[in-house]
Amino acid sequence: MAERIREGLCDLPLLTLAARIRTREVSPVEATERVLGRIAAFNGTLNAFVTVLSEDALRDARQAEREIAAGDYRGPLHGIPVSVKDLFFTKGIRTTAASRVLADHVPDDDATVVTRLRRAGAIIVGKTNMLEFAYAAVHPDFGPTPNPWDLTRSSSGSSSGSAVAVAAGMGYGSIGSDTGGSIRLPASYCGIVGLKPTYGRVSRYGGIPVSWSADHFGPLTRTVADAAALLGAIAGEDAKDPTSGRAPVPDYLAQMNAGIAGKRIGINDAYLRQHVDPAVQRLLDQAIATLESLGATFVDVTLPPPAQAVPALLAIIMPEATAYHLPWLRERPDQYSQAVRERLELGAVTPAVSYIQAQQARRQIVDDFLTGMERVDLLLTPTGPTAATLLEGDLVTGDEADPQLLAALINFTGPFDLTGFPALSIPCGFTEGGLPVGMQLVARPWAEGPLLAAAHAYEQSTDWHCRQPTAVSIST
Amino acid sequence: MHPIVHEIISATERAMGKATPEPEPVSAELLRSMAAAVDVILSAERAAALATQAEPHFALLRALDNVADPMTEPAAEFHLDNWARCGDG
Repeated sequence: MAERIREGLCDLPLLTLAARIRTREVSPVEATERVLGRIAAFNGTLNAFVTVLSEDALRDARQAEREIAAGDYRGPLHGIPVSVKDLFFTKGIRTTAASRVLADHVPDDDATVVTRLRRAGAIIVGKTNMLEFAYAAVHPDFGPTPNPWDLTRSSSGSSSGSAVAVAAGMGYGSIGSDTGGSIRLPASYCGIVGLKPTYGRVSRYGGIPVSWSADHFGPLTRTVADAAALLGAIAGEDAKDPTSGRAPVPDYLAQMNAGIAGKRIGINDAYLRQHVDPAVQRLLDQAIATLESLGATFVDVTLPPPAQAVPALLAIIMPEATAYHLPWLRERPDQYSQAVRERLELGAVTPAVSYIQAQQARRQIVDDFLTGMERVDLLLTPTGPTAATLLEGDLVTGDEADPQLLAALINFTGPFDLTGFPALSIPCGFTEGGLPVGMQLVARPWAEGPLLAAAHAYEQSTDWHCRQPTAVSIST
Repeated sequence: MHPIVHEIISATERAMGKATPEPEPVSAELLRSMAAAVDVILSAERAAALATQAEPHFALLRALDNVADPMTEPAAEFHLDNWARCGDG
C-alpha cells in the first residue's frame, strides 16, 4: 500500500504550526480556516464532530492574531485550532455526550480543561463525536466514527471523534477522556499519540463522568511533543475538583530531550506475549529492538495480571456510572442506546459488596504495581490486543452490554485506569493490511515527564507518526 | 469476533472457573427485584434479556473473591483536605 506522508498545513505537528504562528509566517486565522475547510470536506464521511464551532473559532482566531501581532504571545497553544470531546462542558454550547438524553443540553459553565485551553490561547473548532456517555457503544442518533485508515473499520472509543479528527488533520490536537482505554485505544487504532495522565493530574471538573474514581482526561495528538504541550496547558490542581492532585506541573517540553539511554523498561508475559495478535506482537518486538538500540534495557517484572485488574475496574466503573445516570435511567431509559442501557442496568444490580471488594483489590493491585516497578522506569505493553477491528460486529456497534468482550478489549489499558498510573499509546508500526498499531508505555504516578521523554526518543527514531491516513482524500 | 479477543475471554473464563464453584444462574425475576430495590423498573422482557448478560457480569464480580483481601482497607478516599479548602472553613 502506498504511503502518504503528512505535509500539508493541516497535517503539521502542533508545535511546528506554533513556531510558524509565533514568527507570523502563518496566521491563526489562516490555520483555522484551513482546519474548518478540512472538517467541511471530511466530516460527512468520518462523522468526527458533533458540533463545529466555525463562527466562534474564527472570532477567537482573529483575536489571537491581534494579540500576537501586538506582541502578546501566550505560548505554544496560542492560535492553534484544537477540539474537545463532546463530554466537556462548554458554556453556551451544546454538550451532548453523544446521547439523546442530553441532545439539547447547553451548560452554563466551561469544564476546567476548556477554560485552560482558552487561557492558553487555543482555538476550539468543535466538539467531537464519541461513544454514548463514553460507555462503549454508539448511539444511533450520533452514529459511528469510521477509521480514516479503512472506513470499514472501527476507530474504537470512546474518544473516537477526537482520534479521527487528529489523525485526519481536522485540528492539531484534541482532549479526550479515558476510563478503560478511551484515549489510548482510539489513538492506537488511528495511528496517533494518546496520553492518559496520572489520576488527578488533570481536573475532572465539567467533564460528564463515567466513573468518578477512574475517569482521566488527556490529549490526543500527532506527536509526543504535541501531547506534552497540551498536557502542560491543562494539568494542575483545581479547587473545583476535590480529587485533583497537588503535585506541581513540570515543564514537560523542557524535559522532552532527556532521551531513553540508560532507562530500564519492565516487561511481563501477561502484558506482552499472552493474548496478542501475531501482527501486533511482531511490531512490538521491533519496537523493543529499536528501544534497545537507543540504550534502554528490558527487565522481566512481576505484575498483577489483567485477569485480576480488569474485573476490579469494571466492578468499580459499572455501579459508579449507574449512580450518575440513575435519575435518567428511571425516567427515560428508552433514550439510551440498547447496550449502554443494559450496562447501566447491570450497574444497578451490582452488589455493594462487590464494589467494596473491587476497591480492596484496587489498593492491593496499586501496591503490587508499585512494587513491580521498583526496579524499572517504565513498562511496555501493547495498547490493544489487535489493530482496528471491523465496524460490523464490533463491540461499539453492538446492542448488548457484553461485559466479557468489553473486558477483553481493555485487557492492556484497563489496569492503568484502575491504578491511575500515567500511560501513553504511541504508533509502533503498521500491519501488512496498512492498519496502524500502538504500543503502550506506562510510568509511575506523576512521572509524565520521563514517560513523554522516552516516547519522544522512540518517535524520533521512527517515521510512523509521519504517515497520513489513506482512506480519505487529502486535498485541502 | 477476532480470535485473539475470543482467546482472552476464554482465558478469563478459565481463570474464574478455577476460582469459584459453579454458581446458581441469575433469574430474570431476581434481576427485576434487585433493580426495583433502587427504583429501576425492568419489564419481564428486558429482565429476560438482561439475564443473559448478567451471567458473565456476575462471573466477573465473583472473580474478585480471589483478588480482594478482606483485611485490606478499600481504596476509596474522600480527600478531605481538599474538601476543607472548598468549604466554609
